[in-house]
Amino acid sequence: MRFTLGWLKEYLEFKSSVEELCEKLTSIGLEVEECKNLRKSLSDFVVSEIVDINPHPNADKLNVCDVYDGKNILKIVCGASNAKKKMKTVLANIGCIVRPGSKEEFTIKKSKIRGVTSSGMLCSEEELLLSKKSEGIIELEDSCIVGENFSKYIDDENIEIEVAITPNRVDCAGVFGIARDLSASGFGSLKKKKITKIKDQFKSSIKISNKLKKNSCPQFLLREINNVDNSKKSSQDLINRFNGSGLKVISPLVDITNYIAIDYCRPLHVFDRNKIEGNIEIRYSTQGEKFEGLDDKNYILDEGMILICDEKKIISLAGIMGGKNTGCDENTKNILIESAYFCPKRIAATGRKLNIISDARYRFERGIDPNSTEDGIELATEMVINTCGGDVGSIISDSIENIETRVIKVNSNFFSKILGCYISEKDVEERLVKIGCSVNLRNNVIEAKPPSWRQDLKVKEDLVEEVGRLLGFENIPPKEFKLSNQKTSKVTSFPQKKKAQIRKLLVSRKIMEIISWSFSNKRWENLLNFEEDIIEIKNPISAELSCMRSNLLGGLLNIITKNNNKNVNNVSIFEIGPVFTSYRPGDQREHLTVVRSGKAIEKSWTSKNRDYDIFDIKSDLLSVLGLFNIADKKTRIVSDAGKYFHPGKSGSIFLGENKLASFGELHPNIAKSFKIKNYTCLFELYLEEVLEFCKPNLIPKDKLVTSSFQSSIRDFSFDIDKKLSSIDLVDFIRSLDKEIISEVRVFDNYENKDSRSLAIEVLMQSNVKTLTDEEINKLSEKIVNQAKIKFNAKLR
Amino acid sequence: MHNDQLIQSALNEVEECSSVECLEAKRVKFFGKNGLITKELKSLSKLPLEQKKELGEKLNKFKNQFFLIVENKKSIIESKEINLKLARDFLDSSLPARENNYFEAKIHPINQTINEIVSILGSMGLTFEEGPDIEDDFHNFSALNIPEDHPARQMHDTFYLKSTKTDSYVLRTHTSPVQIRALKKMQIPLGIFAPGRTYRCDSDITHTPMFHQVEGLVVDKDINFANLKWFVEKFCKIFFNKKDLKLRFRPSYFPFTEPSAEVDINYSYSSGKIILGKGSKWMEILGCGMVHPEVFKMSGVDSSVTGFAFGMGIERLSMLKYGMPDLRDFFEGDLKWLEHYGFSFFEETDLSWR
Repeated sequence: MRFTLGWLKEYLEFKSSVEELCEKLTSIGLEVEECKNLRKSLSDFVVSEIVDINPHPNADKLNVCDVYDGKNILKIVCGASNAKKKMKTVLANIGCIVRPGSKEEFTIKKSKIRGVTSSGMLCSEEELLLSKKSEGIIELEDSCIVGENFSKYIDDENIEIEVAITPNRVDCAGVFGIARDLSASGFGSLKKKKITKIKDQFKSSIKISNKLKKNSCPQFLLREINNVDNSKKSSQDLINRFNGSGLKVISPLVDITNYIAIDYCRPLHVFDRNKIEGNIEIRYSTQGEKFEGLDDKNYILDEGMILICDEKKIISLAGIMGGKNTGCDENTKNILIESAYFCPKRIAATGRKLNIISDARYRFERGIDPNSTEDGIELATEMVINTCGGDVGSIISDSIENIETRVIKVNSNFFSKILGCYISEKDVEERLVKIGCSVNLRNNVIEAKPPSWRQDLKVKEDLVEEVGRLLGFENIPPKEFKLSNQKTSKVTSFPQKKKAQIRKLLVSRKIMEIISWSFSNKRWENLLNFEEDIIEIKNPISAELSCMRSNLLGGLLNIITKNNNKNVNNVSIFEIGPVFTSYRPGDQREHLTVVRSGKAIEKSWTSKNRDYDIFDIKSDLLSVLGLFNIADKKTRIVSDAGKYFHPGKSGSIFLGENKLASFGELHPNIAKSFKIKNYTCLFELYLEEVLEFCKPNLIPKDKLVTSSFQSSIRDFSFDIDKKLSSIDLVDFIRSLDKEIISEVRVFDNYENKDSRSLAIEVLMQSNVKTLTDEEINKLSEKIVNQAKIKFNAKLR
Repeated sequence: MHNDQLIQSALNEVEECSSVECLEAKRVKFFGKNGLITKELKSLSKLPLEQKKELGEKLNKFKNQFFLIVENKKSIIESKEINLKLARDFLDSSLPARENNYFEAKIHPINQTINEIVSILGSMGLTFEEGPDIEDDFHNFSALNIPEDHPARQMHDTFYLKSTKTDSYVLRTHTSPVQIRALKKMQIPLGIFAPGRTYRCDSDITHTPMFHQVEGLVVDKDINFANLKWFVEKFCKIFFNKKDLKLRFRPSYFPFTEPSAEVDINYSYSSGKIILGKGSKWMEILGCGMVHPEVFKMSGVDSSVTGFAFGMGIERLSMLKYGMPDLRDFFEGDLKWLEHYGFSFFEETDLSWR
């Protein structure tokens, strides 16, 4: 909410500075978002007179002015075309800051401009921040006194303050309310709002039938004013105030309703009386009714929205927007002013459903003062007759008498308990009275009845906030505490620890951590989602971010493409993050996906360059699995990971029936879709699956057992079938003698068009003795024979 | 006599050697299996005792002398050879290290910031909790005292999911729903924090549709606003590593806390950079307050307890501490940005604050 200092001063008398005012506003919960105090920021600028003006000797478009600042005559180079002799203007001396506080601010320095020394600058309105755009330097009235500080001539309406109003404080969505709250906090004294009851000159013939009196519209008042003139402009005072407050000047009648909304937080509506047919009815809408608003938009209404209607049509969507069919224009002669109170929830629901944002809705849905309907109509009447003239009709109403106010009961020590500092009963009472509560204190129990303009005060905690706010949070000293016997002592859970370890491990393996959107899009999902339904967002920010991701790959590949476009070709990245399998909360899973794209080894003087391949990624994967203490469990690798992997160059790691991870080369079609030209490999690890088998390390560890007997190595080279999984052969050999065969390792794999051979090293070692040559040879024979029987592997 | 000649020629020949190979050849020639002197030594047994003793002594003495000379000679030749080799050998040590010619990998600044928060809030007695990214209306709004049609809902720019059912599911707009989940699940006293992804339907210079928050919640018999002030102040001072950081608590509004406050920290500009903890300008850093009784009620918690909660934007904390100029870069995945603003996995958090 934006207003000028002049406006606030209409209701609040105070001697403090603007800075102190802003500090106070913020400290009572009305955060000052901007304070444009030109009087302070232009305090060094001086009213000056150009006493002589001569063309610059070295520049066509510049002049050299002799400027009198009340003490000295200064030489100032000026390029403004309106500069002339005897003109009074504003001088920025050396050291003055032009456009203070803005991004374009700069300090005036003594400088030579094309060979002539200039001792300051003559300013334009724009440079003084008095207007956004201006031509030439500012020309002051002749009555301004040369040598005086220019800030003296800055009007209160040029000092602008913008405060943020929290949703609970609609009472401060009006300048008067802000003044009221300031004075309650002890800042300045409030000037009463003068409300004059205007005598009616005729009896209105219009009848109101308020069908919602008992629920959604307890107060509904109308007043006719005839023979008004809406063709003029509002007064200059109002226009200045509107300019400083960021309000648009439209027509006197509209300006008046806007003025009262901002001034007194009292939304009103003015109808063109001549466009209204018959009597007025307030009712709920029925499904499918149509309404054309003042914003020229057509709305189709739901059930239960509050409507103001005449006998033929809907004339207003209550509390939100008037109808186009009864709006005022410059020809409007007779008017009907509406002042009402509508149920906040109804207004909020209607506004939300139709997506209409208006000043009236803003105020009504937050709960304005229900007792302000009469004040509103009188204020409007006075302004209308002052600005537009007219004959005043009687106030007509169809309302209920009293709107109930609630009473909040609270123990007087509750305030000290919640705030954590001692506040006396009397102190509490005093502060509550200051904000307008009527307070009854008996037997340490406070009964407070909040004022009608504070609809937000509902429970005792609300009163605590009021007392704390007025006391000032800065006056509550911090107090150390310890949680009493808290049950859990672990900061991070086992899975959280493991995730932190994975991050460190992968970064140490030179894989960059990235964070990408949880969002995906239909294109990616159609390409990469093989199992789940696509989870779509009802109101996405863009088509690119319209779904929830079912895997991390899309985001990672997109990042690879983006980096490739910047000529970064070797990209190794990973993400640990959620993927989504259904709409329900908790149905999300956590994945780790690592992608390596480009060269594993760049052209280099030490080694031959080569692309990343699936054995790089497998090495990454195994190192991650190494963190999970599942080495002793029997995992198996199955070729072909499916999905977005190359069918011939991929694999999955299983533990029992659970797939822990998949790895391999990216399917060429997917690479193509993402415009990735470099060779790309990836693995994805399903964290929930892995963690299911992983238990925290047992401490202390089992005793380390090593053999002290000599070991022997035998190498075997087999011709094998092209599609044999080497791991099957290795596992088989190992199983032939679990006592003696302690390690089996593939150390070469050779393939040509029709054959393949595998070289395997077998380490033999016993725990109980040194093996004899005979024993070793016997075992070697067994390996060769059994490999042949089982896998048709022939020793080369 | 014959033996003296043999000894002399052995000495001469060894003297003339200039390579290790030559020395080895001479050793074989004279003292090998069939060496000339070996032969003499073998034939000693045929000699009479007197002669055997005399000649034996002489030859054995020479044997020792010979091997000593050979060893000396050998080490001289070897060191000469080493020096020669050293003079010849040269490697340009300024050549690039092996396969190390591209990016260092880094931890993403968001996760680094979360790590720091885990260390700090963990050291202050809180435990790490998590909640789902997709939430139901109850946890994201109603239980947090934000009923339908509450104006505060409009401020949340909520993403809704297209669901076939009538239930409305949302992407959580804040980490506060974890408060409800923790209150329902855990015993009091409790102290938790919950960092995580949050979502709002907003995208411009200062907003991304996805961002991160961290929520804190402390509930016990007698937790009060003064405790909240102490806790938040301690956290901020440790996190920003500024012992003289000033905090300003100003009244604000959140439906799920009462009283509510926003917290500002002081800063100043110095040559275009933000200096925290110095100067008199204020910037907002977090929101907090005493847990609203409605929140306890909705979570089924006895109303005799009190508690405080706070929430912060992690990107903002990160930008203020580490100086990234633009929020949007966090999720762009630009490797150069990540290398520059990311963190080594060795980083540790300093927990001192006074």
